[in-house]
Amino acid sequence: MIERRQFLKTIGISGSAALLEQCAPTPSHELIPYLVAPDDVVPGVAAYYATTCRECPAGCGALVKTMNGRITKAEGNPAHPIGRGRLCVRGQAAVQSVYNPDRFRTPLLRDAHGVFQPISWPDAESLLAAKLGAAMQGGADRVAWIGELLTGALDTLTSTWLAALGSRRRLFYETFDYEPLVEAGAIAFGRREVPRYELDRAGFIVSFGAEFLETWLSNVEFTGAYARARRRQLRDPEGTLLVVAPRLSLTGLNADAWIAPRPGSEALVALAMAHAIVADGVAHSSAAPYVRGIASAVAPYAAERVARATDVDAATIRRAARRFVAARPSLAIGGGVGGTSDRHAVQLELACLLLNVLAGNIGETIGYGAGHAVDRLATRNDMLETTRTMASGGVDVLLVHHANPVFTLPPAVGFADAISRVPFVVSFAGAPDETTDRAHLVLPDHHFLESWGDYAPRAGVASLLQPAAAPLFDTRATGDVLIEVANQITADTARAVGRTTWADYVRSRWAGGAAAANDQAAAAAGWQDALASGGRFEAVDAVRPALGDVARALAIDPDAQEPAGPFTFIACPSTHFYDGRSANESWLQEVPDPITKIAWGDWIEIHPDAARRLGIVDGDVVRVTSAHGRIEAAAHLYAGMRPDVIAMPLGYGRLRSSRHAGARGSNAALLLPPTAAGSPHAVWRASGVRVERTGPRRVVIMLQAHVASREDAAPPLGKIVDPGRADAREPPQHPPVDLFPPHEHREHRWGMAIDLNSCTGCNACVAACYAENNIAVVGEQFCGQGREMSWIRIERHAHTVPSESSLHRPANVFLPMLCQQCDEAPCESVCPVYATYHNPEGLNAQVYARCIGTRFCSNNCPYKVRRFNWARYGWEAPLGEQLNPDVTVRSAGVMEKCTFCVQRIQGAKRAARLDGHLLRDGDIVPACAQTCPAEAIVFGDLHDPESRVSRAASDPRGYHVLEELNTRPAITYLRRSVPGAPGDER
Amino acid sequence: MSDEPGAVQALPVPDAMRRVTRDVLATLEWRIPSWLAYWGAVGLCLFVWSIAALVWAYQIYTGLHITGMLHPVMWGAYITSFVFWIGIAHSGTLISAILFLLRAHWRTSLARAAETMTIVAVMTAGIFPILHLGRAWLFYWLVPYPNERGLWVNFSSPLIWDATAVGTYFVVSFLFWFLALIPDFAAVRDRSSGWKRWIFERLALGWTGTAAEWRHFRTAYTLLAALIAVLVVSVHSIVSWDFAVAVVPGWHSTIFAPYFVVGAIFSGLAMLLTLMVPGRFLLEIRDYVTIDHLENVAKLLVAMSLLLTYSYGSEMFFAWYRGDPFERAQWVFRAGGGYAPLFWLTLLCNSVAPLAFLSRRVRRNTTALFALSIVINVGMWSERFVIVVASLAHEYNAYSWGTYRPTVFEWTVLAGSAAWFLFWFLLLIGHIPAVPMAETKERLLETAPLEGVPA
Repeated sequence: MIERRQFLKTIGISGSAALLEQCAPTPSHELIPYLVAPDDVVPGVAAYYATTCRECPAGCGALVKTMNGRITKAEGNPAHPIGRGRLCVRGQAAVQSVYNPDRFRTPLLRDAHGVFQPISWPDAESLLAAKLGAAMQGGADRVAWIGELLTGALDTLTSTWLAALGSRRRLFYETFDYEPLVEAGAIAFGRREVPRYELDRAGFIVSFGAEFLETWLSNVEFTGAYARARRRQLRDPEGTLLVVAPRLSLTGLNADAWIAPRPGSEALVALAMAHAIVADGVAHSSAAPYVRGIASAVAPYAAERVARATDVDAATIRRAARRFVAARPSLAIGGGVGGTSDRHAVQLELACLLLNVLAGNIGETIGYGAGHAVDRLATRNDMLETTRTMASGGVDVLLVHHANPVFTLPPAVGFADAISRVPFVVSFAGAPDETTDRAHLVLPDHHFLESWGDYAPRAGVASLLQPAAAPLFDTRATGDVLIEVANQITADTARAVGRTTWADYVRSRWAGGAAAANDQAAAAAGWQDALASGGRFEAVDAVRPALGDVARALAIDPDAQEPAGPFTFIACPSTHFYDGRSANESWLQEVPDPITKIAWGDWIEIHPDAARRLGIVDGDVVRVTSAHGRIEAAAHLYAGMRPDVIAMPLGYGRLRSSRHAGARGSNAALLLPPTAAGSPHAVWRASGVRVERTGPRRVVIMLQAHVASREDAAPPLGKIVDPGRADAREPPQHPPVDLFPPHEHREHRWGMAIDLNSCTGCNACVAACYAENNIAVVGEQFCGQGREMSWIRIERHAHTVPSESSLHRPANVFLPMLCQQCDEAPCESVCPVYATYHNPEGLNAQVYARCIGTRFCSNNCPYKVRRFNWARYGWEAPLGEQLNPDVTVRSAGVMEKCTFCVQRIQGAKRAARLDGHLLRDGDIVPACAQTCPAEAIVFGDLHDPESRVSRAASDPRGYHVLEELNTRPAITYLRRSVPGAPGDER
Repeated sequence: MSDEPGAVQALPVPDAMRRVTRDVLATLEWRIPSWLAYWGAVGLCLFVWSIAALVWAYQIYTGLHITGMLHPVMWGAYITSFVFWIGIAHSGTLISAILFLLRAHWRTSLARAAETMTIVAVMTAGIFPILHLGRAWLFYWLVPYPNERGLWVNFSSPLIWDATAVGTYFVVSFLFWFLALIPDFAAVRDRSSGWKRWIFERLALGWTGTAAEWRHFRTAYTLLAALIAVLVVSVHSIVSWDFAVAVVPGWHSTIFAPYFVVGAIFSGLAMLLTLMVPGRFLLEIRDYVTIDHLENVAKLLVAMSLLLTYSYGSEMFFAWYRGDPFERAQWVFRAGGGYAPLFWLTLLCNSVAPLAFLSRRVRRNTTALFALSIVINVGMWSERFVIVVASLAHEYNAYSWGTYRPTVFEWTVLAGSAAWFLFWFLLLIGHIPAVPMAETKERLLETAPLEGVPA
């Protein structure tokens, strides 16, 4: 028997014991394991480092955001002339490659069984020193370096280093070179270089297949410039861009007009345009000294004569020519990669230069003396020569530095065979690829966001790389390795390179330039400035060279029809993967291709007419065979090309089983010849290919269910307007009626304006949103089930504008679709638990913790922008390190959607309060608007009539998507200006 | 029209009343020859819904990705089945309340089965809204009560109306069902002993059969019938507003409330036939649930089918007439898109097949009745599937069109829900008087020749 008192005592004591137990300190895990914290790491406060994006040779300036010592986001550096504060989809995804789970974590040495085994850095370096020492004994040029494009410190170091080793064999290898452009410059102007294009100054642009919005030269810079040109030319009845190419790339889809010549005859079209200008006597006065010379050079290429070879009627060519001269300054841009590279590539570039001369564009929109880094790229001939040397045993040690020639060179070049004959192959790659598969020693470099370095994409743009975070793995800067190895080989090599660290090497070279070495304070200040601003930028004057004799180089048979075989194959660069290098970044796999909207997959593009003839339907597995190889992939019907063209993007068919890129389709380069027939240049086309259906349909994951067009029962949501009516305001069709009192937004009403006339559909905003908002990557299977999580997507809507003879009107609209933050939101009223509600600043706030997952809000959202967490999505280590600590990671069973980057809104408000000022227009920039290379997205307060967004939203072109539903969105879209847009456009 | 059990009615009244007691109580006495089949069926149902319960547990553990639902089609077979089972629940109230108030006395024999079916169907339907939640363990957040979370429900959400309506309906239907059972429970109590007597004593709530008790009983029954008659209309109207107040093309229509009520009654009557055609054999109550009763149900089915056809027609007409391109696109999609076979199946099952009941021979053929009742059940499920899924699959934004197919997990859950329904129905109908004894006897008295009145 127990007494009542006894019972209470016992309960009391045991209860408090249990409570005390709860209070006991749990072992603490230090989130920031610093004993003495560095100055620039404040928990919860972001630090930004200015550096340079090295995803491609464009070299855009980047600001890298780090939180608690981890890189979480890359944004453009506004002070940097390249990119002007914007990044493309690949630049946004660069952050993810830091945390690529496949990255090498230590140096690796291949053992006797051909398996990589970890090795320590000192052992690896002394091994390399021994191999190099032995190679030096073998004679000159026994060591070869194939690597990414370098300028500045690493350029100097590698050339000194190789010279000390007695080798001159250093090739800056990029998959996409600009050789025809360089050569045309040499022939026409005596300047062996890529010219500087200023698209924003052009009143009319003719692009002969150059993918300048995607991969060509400097896509972020060009996208911004093109968007500015479009905005200026908004009311021009002829539009801004004419594309001449057999297939529409993303750039082509953004064009106002499209001429589709027979593949290989683009140069004839350009020459015929030049002929028309000369014949009509409309050449610009500045071209007067050259008109006679040009007239004789282009004499055989009358528009009527080439019509048959080009499949373009003469009137269209004349019309384009007249327009080109009339809209001075205009700009003709020569061939891009998939666009027009073939055996007439040089002639095409020459013809473009002639057009630019005739229209008086030299020195206006196109200039020389730009000093592009890409001028230094190895030619295809250099690569072939080195390949032959390697194959014949002429190379003892091959060093591969951030290049993947085994994959990116067409297999017909024979590089894979040649590399297997090299006794010792060293790779500095950060992650496994086809070339490291054949390496003996891997010395993983830091990721470029963890590195010191510099890169000058063109003269006057000296751009600095600085580490934004400590290296994640046991990697070592290649510069440090080279210095260490040189110090180990011989006394001579040690003396040549010196004993220093790579960081000091960069710094000393940077400071040694401008400020005199004797003024240490100035040098230090200059260095600090460069660290803060991302480099040193100055304007460089363009050179206006005189035209030389081009007639001899122009020998094309005007009557020749391009050859044999029913189909020409085009290998096009991938907007997301470039040449395949970014294919392992899951954001880039999951965000759908901008044209086809295919995610996680490869495809072969076939024109619907050709497909019908061959009995192929969408998704059928087809095989394309050329003289050099064959590829297999699912067919995707694409009307944006000629029926005699087959196309496939590069970047698929990565052999290596890297987790996201691996085992995905075929490499389009398999079909390509080593060089164009009768020319030494690289070529991205193969003529005379065969196409056959080999298998049943395969699932191709298209995230856009249907490309809306006017043929549909319901009209496309992305609207267009004829340039002539761009200023005509349409009365609202449905006067708003409400049963409920309107929401009061006392202080702010956040809103957005998106200019569809500027948006190029490049997907940069989508990748930025993934990075900023911790959007889960759901993977191939879930994407196929329609469960992708993106908060913003780019919808492609195709309008039909009748073509005028050979001049087609692509009339595409790219519609960035995100939560419209409606004032009368259908989602809000149906949520039974107030998980989504209207906040006082006009946002449709989503409270994840309150959501029980009825999903009614998504059903009732006419825009379909809400995403549901069907499962618990994880982040494979170390990808989770990238997560933005300011944004909740959502759990399974809750709904999520765009928040207008509410964390940035709150952050800006907090910063303004701390600084003691009111919020200014532009203080808050959501991630999508921040990175938009076309500056199509404007965000701000709709209450402020002077804000940029208010002014943009009152544009006559403005409309709300589905405004007839009376949802009153906070996003105003501005119609795209499309010449010939029908007037009844709803 | 004879609306009385002929064989029993032919007897002198006292014998008839004794016969009623004997026959009905026999269904409780474990003497039914088919009791092996009965318990076999109950066991099978238990097994099937246990599997479904495991699937649900797995779904809670892993997330809703095991269903076929996807981005545009966020509601699928679960919500379809919710609407379907709520619809089934409607014939019970119709028969017990509306036909009672209209003095359609043939309903008496069927009332018990129909009401039991109602309660069980609501129990089944009620699972689905919880089952389909992303975070099912928080379902109680839908209940408005003061709580420490500082949360409240959004009364402008149709889902709250829905929860309220279905909850009310369940409570009132249960009371109505139980009230009618009290005199019958008393009758069972009086004829049983031991633990059974103990149970039925409590269930009968001390009923002694005094005149005052009978008077109160009649009043309460009539009042509840009047109350529940309103619910017949309201519940399915509110369920329809889950859809009709949304902006989804194919849902946003004012005809939805009457259209859903008609559909609900239609499917409920069909399910009643599905259950009672074999049930009257199983329970050996063919003398009470006669072919005349079944024929009356069939007649009602024809009427409801015609009303439903009218609703279909007017829905399509207004989709065309109002000129909204998205609404039109939705109907073009229904008739010609990926779900078109289901759309045409719906029309065939609900508008064409029931017309066979215009023939008296079909109406009085139990095999035909059973087969057509199954056809109608299929048709009604597919109708709801087309409404829920096809509308969501093809909304305003062409980017986000999608195709939903239920997965094997969902089919398992659906089979489990049918098993759950049958399980409870069999258990209940096998352990309560399957025909309302008191009311049947009342009818015997009312219709008996005067001289037959016992002294």
